Amino acid sequence: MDYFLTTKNEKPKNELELCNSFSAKSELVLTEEEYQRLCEAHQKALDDFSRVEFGGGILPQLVKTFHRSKYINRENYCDMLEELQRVFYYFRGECDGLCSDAEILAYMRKAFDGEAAGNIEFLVGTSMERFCMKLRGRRNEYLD
Amino acid sequence: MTDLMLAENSLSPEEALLFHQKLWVLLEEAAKEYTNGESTSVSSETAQKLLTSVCFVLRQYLSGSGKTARDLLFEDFSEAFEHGKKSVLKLCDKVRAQWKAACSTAPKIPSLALSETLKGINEGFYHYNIDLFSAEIPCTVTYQLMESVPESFLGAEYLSEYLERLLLENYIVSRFDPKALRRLLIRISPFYSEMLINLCETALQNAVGLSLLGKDIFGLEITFADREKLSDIFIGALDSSVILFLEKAAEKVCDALGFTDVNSRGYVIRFAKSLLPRIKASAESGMRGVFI
Repeated sequence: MDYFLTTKNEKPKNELELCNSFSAKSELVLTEEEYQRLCEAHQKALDDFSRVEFGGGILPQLVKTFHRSKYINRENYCDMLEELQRVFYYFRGECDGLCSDAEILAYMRKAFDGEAAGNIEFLVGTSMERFCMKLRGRRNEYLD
Repeated sequence: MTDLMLAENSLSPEEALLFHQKLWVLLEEAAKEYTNGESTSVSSETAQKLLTSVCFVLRQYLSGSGKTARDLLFEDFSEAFEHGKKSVLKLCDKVRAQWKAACSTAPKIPSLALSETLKGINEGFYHYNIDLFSAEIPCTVTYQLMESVPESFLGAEYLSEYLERLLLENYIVSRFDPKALRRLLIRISPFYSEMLINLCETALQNAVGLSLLGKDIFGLEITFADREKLSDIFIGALDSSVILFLEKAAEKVCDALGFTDVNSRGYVIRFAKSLLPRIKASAESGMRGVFI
């Protein structure tokens, strides 16, 4: 990969403020330290799953989608966001070209609060795998 | 790809940074178009293809306008990109014309690989995505040329260079009697039309052999006795001597074919010289596999 693609991943300067503004009503706030940790995790996820990001990242949308989940609270907020971010990028790669970021996030939230009951492993191993299989099936029907 | 663009003009670190920032904006727009604005990320593989294509289009603009990457720094990259796309479209027009010429001059000798390649190139015009993937080759090229187009050629440039070389090869083949060439091909295999055989190479290698023997090259027939004589020429000869023999033989072939331009002569001579490894490998076993 051209080195140019590995050198560019600047986050918007107000991303932390944006995230906290989304979650303010749930009284969930990220500290600067937690935000830096999530930024590092974001880069690691991009590297691990071979993706290139344009325009910041999925974190604000992730916060917007999940801050009201009954399985997320002040104690586990940063940890959960870190794991959910990673889940998102993994399945973003698995569903490339098959659906939008918003659709992945919507399904993740529905499954996380529903059948997964806040369990990340169940979300990954069952719910999201099933989601991808459905999408691939739909694409194959279209191609047939 | 960006290294190459920058190295050509030795931009300062500050200029290189500005260049990258402006390039990133173009790439971001391309990624947004690719995802229909529905995703903030793309796979690394897709990002690389988009970047290569953006740089390809900008290169077309630079070569068409005679400008350098440094000149580009002071321009609007989006406008330069649009101008570049127009250059790519002009290149596509050239490719279409070359394709038509290649079809009309194609040897009247069946070759599945050649006909599929020409058909594929035509169909490729409908899939060629100038906006996002202009550096991609929009078709499969099965028919291998005597001298392959370097991998540094991309997109429509690759097709243009491929067809240019194919036109030359078609002309070379047209100088020989089709019946004589068919007899030669059948000696290789009765199913030659389904094999990945380069028609020009088949004709030329025997033409070079006949030239070495001082015989008429247009007959294309090399007998057992001829191969023995050729073996005698090459057995024990130094590589440098073999290259010289082949070069001289190729020059005589060019003269007989009526080639006066440097480009065409160079193509034939380079091919002849490329026979060296095969000649070395088969000199002691009757030159089979080199002269048919």
